[in-house]
Amino acid sequence: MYASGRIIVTVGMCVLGLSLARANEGARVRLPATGVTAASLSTQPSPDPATFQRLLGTYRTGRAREAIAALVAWPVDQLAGAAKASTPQFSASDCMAAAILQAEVANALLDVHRLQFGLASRLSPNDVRRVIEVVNSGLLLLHYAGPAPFGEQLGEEPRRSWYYAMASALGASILLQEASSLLEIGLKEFHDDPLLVTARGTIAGRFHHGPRAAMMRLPSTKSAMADYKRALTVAPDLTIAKLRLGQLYVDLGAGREAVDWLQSVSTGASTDDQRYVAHLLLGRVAARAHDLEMAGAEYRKAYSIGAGYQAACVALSRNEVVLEHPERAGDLAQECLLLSEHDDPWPYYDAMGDPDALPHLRAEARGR
Amino acid sequence: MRTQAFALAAVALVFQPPTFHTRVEIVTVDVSVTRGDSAVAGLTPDDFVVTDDGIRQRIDTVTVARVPLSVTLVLDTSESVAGQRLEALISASEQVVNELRTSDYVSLITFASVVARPVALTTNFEVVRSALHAITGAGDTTLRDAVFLGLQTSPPAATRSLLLVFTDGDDTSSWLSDDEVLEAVRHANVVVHAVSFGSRPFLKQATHESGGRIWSASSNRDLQKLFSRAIRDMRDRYVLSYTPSGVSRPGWHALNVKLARASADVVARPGYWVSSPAR
Repeated sequence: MYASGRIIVTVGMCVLGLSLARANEGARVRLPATGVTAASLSTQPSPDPATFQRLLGTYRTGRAREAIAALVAWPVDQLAGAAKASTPQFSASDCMAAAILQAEVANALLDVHRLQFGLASRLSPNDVRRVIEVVNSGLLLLHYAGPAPFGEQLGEEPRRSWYYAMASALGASILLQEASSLLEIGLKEFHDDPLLVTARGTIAGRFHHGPRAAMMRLPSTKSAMADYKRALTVAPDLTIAKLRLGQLYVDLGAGREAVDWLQSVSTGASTDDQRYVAHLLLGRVAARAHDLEMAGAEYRKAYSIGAGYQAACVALSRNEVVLEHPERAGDLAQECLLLSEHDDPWPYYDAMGDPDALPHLRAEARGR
Repeated sequence: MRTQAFALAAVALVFQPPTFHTRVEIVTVDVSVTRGDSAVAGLTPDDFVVTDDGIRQRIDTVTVARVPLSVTLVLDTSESVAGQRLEALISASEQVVNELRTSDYVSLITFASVVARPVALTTNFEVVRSALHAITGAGDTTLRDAVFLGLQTSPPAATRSLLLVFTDGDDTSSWLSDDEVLEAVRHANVVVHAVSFGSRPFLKQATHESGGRIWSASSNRDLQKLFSRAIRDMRDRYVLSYTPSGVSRPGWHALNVKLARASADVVARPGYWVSSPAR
């Protein structure tokens, strides 16, 4: 599973009312449940606007982990208060960077839950409330950031990416209602934005199979497919939309339709993780078509990209079983069992998260 | 079900997957025979009827409890196991180790968000005990991938392989599907026993395909008893061997094992897989 720093998070302002209303509003905000001990808290910087501004500086100068680790230990109401109180001193760029930082903190809260309980586990209502409060704080900062917070060259792109990253992270943590609400806000601002439309598709189509399906109440895969195609009509080179469409076709057993999209990702994606997932899925398509040589080739490509990722290793080993090469299957299995410390992106993609979204925003915040 | 191929002169049973490099093939089948909770003892070749692809076979030998075991503990260490259940699981696993003989082997595989093998097959039981106490519970459940990887472990020669699987939840994070792992079970030469909380259709099917059994726990206190029962079942099993007659083709062989006269609960795998000679 993906660990802190590689994931994403989010929620929105209008989401605010909706989500907070369902949470226990009377409850006292408590400290983060994960990884924060009394000892560590005693050394945490105090939750005030000046400290928040200093930590924002820390974040923007490349020490992201340090800043996030400090802020995730703050009571969320004080974190939100410190951020809001800082806005008079902030430029548009500062506000945008602070919004991204709040997304990172919300993601860290989700990440702690994912690591402890797994991707298929729901947050408690109180933890949902905490996440929502941080995301709403980010949304407020986004509001203050204005239309082109990092300059005309990037224009609205950081804002769009923020909505996308947040919604993806919420969706991956099964906060589907919150993710949908946030996307509604984003799409109101950026009508038909392909990235946001893609995210809406992933939320709509999430988990139409498997053990999680019952938990999700599974909306229609048709609307997911329509959203991906719509996004690709507007932005034909949008890799994540191609990957999601390919993945959806694989899940639906439509291998032939999946191949073109996945091949396009495997050759054109800008990140190793996306190419890794594309090769994995291409291997699955070939295996289902009983083209075991092709399946092995695709799995090997995936394994060579994600050296140490267990899903690719298991896929390769299983392929050797079907090829009736038990010794090779056994050797690979031994290799797989030594890979337990590695951070395979497949489960997070499978949960419809996008591990590249937040690092992308982080880089933008750092560069400005 | 176990099969092997070796020259006529070779007498000792060596438990390996089926191959057809030689003219003579001996098939061996693990069979559990129980009445109520008790094993039925004292059975001979004449007490069994075995058909291979519908053709009755002549049983050459029946042995029981003589062949050392290679036991792989495949334990769910996801978040749902954390706490008292984890303590009970560790105690139950220790009990298994305590019941092993010095000629047996044991290994430990754990699965949560990833599958890990803290201890490879060993006769050093103390290492396993130590590893058990280092287990913590967190993360997702990769049950299917764990069972698959456990099946691929090569056991030492002249041992019978047992995968003893424990889980209390649904798979949430495996790459492999149910069908893919079940296919691997049919190809493997391993008995899969399982202890679980709640209904687990995948494990029920996997144990059936391997000739193993599944036990359902209703409380943490049941674990030790059920783990012990799983080992005892393996010890009490008969190992039938026969030289197949008229069924030498590669591929899937449907097996049926029953008692000739007495009535009892007979559990054996429903078939075995023979690799193609061209491979």
